Amino acid sequence: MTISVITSEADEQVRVEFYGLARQRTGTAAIDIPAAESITLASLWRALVIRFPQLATPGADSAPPTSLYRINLDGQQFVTHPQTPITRGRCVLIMSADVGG
Amino acid sequence: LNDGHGQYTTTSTPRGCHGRYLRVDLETSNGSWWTLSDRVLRDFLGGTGLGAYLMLTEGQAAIDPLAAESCIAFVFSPLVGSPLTTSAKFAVVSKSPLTDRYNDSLVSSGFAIAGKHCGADAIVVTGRAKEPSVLVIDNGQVRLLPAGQLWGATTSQTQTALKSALGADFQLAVIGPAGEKRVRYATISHDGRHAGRGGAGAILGSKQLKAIAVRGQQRCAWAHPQALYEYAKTLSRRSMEPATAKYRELGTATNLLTFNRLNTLPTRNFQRGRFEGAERIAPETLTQSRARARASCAACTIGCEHLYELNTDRSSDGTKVRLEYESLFALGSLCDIGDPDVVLRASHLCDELGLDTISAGGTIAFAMECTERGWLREEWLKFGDGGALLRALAMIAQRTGIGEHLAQGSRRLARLVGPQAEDLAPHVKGLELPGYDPRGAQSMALGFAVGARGADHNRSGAYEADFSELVDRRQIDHRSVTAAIATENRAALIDSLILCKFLRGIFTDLFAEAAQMLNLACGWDVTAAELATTSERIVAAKKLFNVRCGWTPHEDRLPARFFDVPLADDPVACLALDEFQCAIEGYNQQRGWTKAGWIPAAELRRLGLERWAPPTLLPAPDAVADNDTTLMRAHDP
Repeated sequence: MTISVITSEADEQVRVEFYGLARQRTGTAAIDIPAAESITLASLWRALVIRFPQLATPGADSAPPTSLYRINLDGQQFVTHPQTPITRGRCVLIMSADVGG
Repeated sequence: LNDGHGQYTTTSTPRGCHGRYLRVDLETSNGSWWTLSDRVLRDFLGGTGLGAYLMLTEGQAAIDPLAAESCIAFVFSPLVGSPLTTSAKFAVVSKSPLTDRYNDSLVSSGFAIAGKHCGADAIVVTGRAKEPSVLVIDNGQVRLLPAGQLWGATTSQTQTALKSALGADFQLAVIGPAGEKRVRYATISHDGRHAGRGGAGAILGSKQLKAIAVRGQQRCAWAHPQALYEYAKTLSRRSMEPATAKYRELGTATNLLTFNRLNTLPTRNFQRGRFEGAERIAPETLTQSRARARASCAACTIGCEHLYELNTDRSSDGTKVRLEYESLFALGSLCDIGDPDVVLRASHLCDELGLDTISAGGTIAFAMECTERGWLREEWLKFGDGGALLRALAMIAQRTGIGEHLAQGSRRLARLVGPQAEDLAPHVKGLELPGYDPRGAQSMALGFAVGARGADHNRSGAYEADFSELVDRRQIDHRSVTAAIATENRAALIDSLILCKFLRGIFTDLFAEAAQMLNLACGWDVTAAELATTSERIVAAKKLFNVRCGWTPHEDRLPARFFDVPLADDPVACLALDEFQCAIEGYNQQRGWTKAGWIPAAELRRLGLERWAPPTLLPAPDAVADNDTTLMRAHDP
């Protein structure tokens, strides 16, 4: 697994951590991506799909497909709405949708 | 045919079922056939539902599960043998020697199909063989073969030897040394898969039954075969959709890093929710250093099993180990073991000895904490010591030294160690907790507490809500109650159909589709609404069995360590005892039971369960804290 750093100013970035399927498909554990003052889940997802085309899923351009992924902010809160604001400094966890075992 | 119970009017046997079960008495080596009416089959379906019915009708609640007169049922379902993906499953149902309550375990593959082709919807085994034996059921004909030479053999050795002796077309359910020694969490193994929880293997051991071999040619007809085939094709295609991708591409073990990140990975006997060694034992890491293979059960299109090479050095003989999340957490983080070689070896050892990995790991981790606290004088049994883990597993299977006590499970061990230990023993009703920290997954915590089988992630899937927007996973409330009931009902239906739960994500309306499947297979005009009631009936039947066993509301609880103290790695994750108690009462009331959890007579009547109401097991007056006036007293003869 690799950890990619795209820019180095932590307070101007959003950290994205990949788990399960997302890590399998990107081959990456985590990346830091530059972010405007506030971005949305939808814009973050679009940026991720450009960076990792393996994440692209037909019909799921504006948000992570809920059948595949679950999104958590900072390990605290699960979110699905594409317009969920994601501010700089936050950590976005992309997990497999199904956590059963 | 005997109509053993005569409670329902017998009608014609539906398609998809045989309308009877085979009851084998090991004392006499005889089998007898007992009727299952259309009404019974429709009300309880198969799998765990029909198993609960059989346990109630066989009067097993009052019987020691390790006594000769106890019964153990191998239960098939209307969909077994159909072209529906993942339908080759059977339930092993009994009273548990670990919990002394209702128990069912599901296991997949060819035994289900071959067993049903013997002409039976279930096989019930009672009595005790005079010597170590193999029960052979060949197209419905019963015979016992001596198996003294197999006594002591591992599960895979037994499987190989019997396939060679009987023929490859026999399907086998076998026990390992742990079952022979009546370890209370011994498994029954079929083709390397296990009916894992609750100690079914100990029951076979107590009956001196090393294995059951089945073969048959009695196929059921289907009500609408062409339409069933077409539907099955569609279902198989859907089973390859994104909802099952995790299972196909990675398997359940990939939960490990996710749970670790969320501080819900039980570590050091639930002292922590985060494990520093998680990356080392995670499948994402194992894949980089070991050969991996994928396998699937018979009649399954998902293929969720991921096997990892046991040895990576020159001594490797190519042996691969199935690795599921629950084994990984129980033999890894729970015991503070971060060495992947040890975890794989321990998992393999459990498979070969016939031990439930969750209960084995849970009991050993508990003993490690007792040692750490100076309550147990087994200085070698320390957290993080891989050699100790492997040694303990071998001692459990042989019941030597401390293994004699570890073989009893954490609840009984805690009673020996002392009252202070009982707060830390990681079980509900005697069944060790699966790998979800209750403080960080509080809906799941509720599911654990109220489950008839004990702490259980397969009969309650409330974790689905915890890891979603539906609830705040660290704040139990009414939404947790709703989630616990909904997922428990869904599990009751899936486990009775029987289908694999890994399919659940592809259904938009499970109950409606289940009705369609049953219509195509059996010709029943069943509806989604009827199946909703059926699922409630099945949940209540299990509870009723427990009531007949002597259940009290006090049993629906978690160990004291989980309450009112935040999880070490997450100060927000704190489970308040008063809120948890409110949620249990809410669960009971939303089920139509009393606040304390007793099932009112009217509810039993609604579900058609009133004939099993136990008039002699009424709660003591002081146990009735609410409006329990319509309890089972209404059914006094």
